[in-house]
Amino acid sequence: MENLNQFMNNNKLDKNEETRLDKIVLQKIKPEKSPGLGIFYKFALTLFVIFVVGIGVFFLPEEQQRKVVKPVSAMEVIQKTQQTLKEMLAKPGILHYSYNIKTVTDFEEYDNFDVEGYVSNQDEKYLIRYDVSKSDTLLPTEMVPGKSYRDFSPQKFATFSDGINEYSYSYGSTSNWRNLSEEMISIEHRSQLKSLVGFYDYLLQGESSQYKLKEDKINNREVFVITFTYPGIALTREANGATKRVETIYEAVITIDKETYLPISNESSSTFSSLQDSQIETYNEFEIISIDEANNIFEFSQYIDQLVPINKNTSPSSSIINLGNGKFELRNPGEDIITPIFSTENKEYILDGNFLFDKITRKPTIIGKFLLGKELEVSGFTQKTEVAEVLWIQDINYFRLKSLNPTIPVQPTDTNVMPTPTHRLTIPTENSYSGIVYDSEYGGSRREAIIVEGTLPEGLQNENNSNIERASIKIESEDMVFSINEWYENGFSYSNWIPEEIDTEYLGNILMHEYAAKFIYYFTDSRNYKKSDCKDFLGNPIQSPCVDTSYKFETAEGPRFLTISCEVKTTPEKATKTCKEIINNLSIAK
Amino acid sequence: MKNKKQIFEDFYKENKQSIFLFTLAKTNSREDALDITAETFLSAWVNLDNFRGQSTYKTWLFAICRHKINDYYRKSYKDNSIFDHSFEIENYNVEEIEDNSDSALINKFSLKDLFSKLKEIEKELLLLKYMNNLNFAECASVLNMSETNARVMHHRVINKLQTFIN
Repeated sequence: MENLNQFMNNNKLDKNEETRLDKIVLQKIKPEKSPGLGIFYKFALTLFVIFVVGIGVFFLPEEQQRKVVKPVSAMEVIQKTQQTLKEMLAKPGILHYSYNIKTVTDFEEYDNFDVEGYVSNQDEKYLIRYDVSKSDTLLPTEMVPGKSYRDFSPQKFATFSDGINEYSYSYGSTSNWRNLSEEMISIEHRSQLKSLVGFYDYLLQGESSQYKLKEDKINNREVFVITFTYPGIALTREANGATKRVETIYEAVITIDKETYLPISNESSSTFSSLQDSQIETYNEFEIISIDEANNIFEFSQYIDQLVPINKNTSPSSSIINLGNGKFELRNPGEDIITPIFSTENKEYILDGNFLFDKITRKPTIIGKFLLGKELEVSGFTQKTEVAEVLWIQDINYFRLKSLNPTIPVQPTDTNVMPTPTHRLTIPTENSYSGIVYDSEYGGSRREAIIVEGTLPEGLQNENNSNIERASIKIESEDMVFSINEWYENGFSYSNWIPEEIDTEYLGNILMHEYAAKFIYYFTDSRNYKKSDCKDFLGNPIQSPCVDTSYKFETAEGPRFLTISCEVKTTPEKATKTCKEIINNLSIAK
Repeated sequence: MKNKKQIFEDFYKENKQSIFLFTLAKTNSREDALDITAETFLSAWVNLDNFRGQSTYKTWLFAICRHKINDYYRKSYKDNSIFDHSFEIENYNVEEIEDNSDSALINKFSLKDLFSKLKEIEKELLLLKYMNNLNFAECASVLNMSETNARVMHHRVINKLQTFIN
């Protein structure tokens, strides 16, 4: 059987294959225009422009001449950029744009979204495609020498409309479509770009003195760089894993191409202490393309072929209503299922995802980041669903936004000390004791890992713990059983989320599964305790943590539940005490 | 001075074998590998103007190829592993293990056996590093991870393979 070297030597393209490949590739490469001719044209054009501009300026009145050479202000740059973007949207054809969003928070090293979108400027067709990749997030593994990593495989999502229905596609998951009203399609159409136009609108509401403008050269491009600060809300993680919202000062850096007046990047980063919270949008392309080019870039058939119609809900058409003033807020910040909310004095609406919040990245858009927690006036559609009233924002009035540049730093305030629940969460407590068992379920459809940590009372035995499949902990003594079991609703689509078999035969070792649940276990050398081998999963010796009675149960990321229970068996009084001790020493964080 | 087409043709000639072998190792089908190789180069050609120089052309090409392979699996719903996962430790040659280099270690295993022991991303790392001679920074760039992570992963893979040998 071939090894790698043999494989390389034996499997090269043969002559026939090489000819076929050459034919496919080399014949499809379009010949370029003569470079000499191109250079000549460019040169001639440049001379012509210089000539025309020079003559024009020469004949202008003195006052007008000064205007021509006067440096532009930040406001002018923003205004012109917004105008350019609007013009791109008005041009006939298909507007293709691509950008990258990268977020860095205290929770994840980074989230990366490569986005390609197109909007047809003639009708309401659109497509937005996301390639999502995450960092190999560092885990809080202070007990393990070195660091351990999670692995995330890239995921792909797309949402698109043929002008009548909107379709969504997610790689490895389900594909579906929904029948939206004309008005809703219209709102979704260009929603990313509308959001960007809105962002400039928002900036134009500020005072010009708030913005600093400088000219720079980045990657051989002449650019305008506009900087300013603003107050915002960030989320951070405490040492115990609990989440905390803090008000902080952000610094924004807006970079615009000096030649084309198109956006290059929008960056927003927290400047508070060591807190990490930044979002960078980098725009790569804005171009008008033909339908053939669009097909080449987007490969529509790959999405359409795999669509499975489900839940055909025709949304009732309704007229735009003004909802008045309210605040844009996030429910469950730090969780994977962040719910964007617009809350007015009387009512709370869930945002569908356009404008302030990106429904696929599940993060605020760049403008959403600026407007989080601030009072706004919005209008749009509302649609009642079984669980909430959903708001489709059609327009935002930025009139009320004035203060962008506070001079007094905001002190952090602690508003949230426990992980915010998803749709099902019961942390086991003494109160959950039914007389036999402390039972609880924790989890939901978020994608974050769940971490359960605690300590064990002395005297627990570790029998019956071998060959447990999937992620689970089972500590069994004569009179009680403490267990944590991981389970999933409706199965799983992502193979790397399915826990690999966990063999707990050698309790005392640190058993660790990189893709799946991580199960780290320690036992002391005391009576009734199995001596820990103090080795990690590669067999390397682990030092100090091995003399600990703590356990740590960590799931892989993904929608999941944990059932945590402590069941009393034969000697109720003692067992109840043990269970109570375990439950009271248990903490859940993510 | 070479124009864009000439540059691309040189680039194509230099890399077509590497891309084909990388794809073949991932798909185990010469026909599919040929198609994916072609698609990779055509995508590279279409997007050549957008190449921002944040990586080398070669790593950029492998990144495109990787996406194309993922597309291939997505389209065909194929299991993203080319060989069955039978456990065939007997294929390594114990005597040769005394050559201590990582490359030698890897070549103690048949490709089938090697792949049966590794995760998808680990396979890719080895293919990039040992089949295509990319350095850690380049591998990291293709695999969209930090260089440190690539090194850590590589270290683990080598350790893992070493344990099989031992």
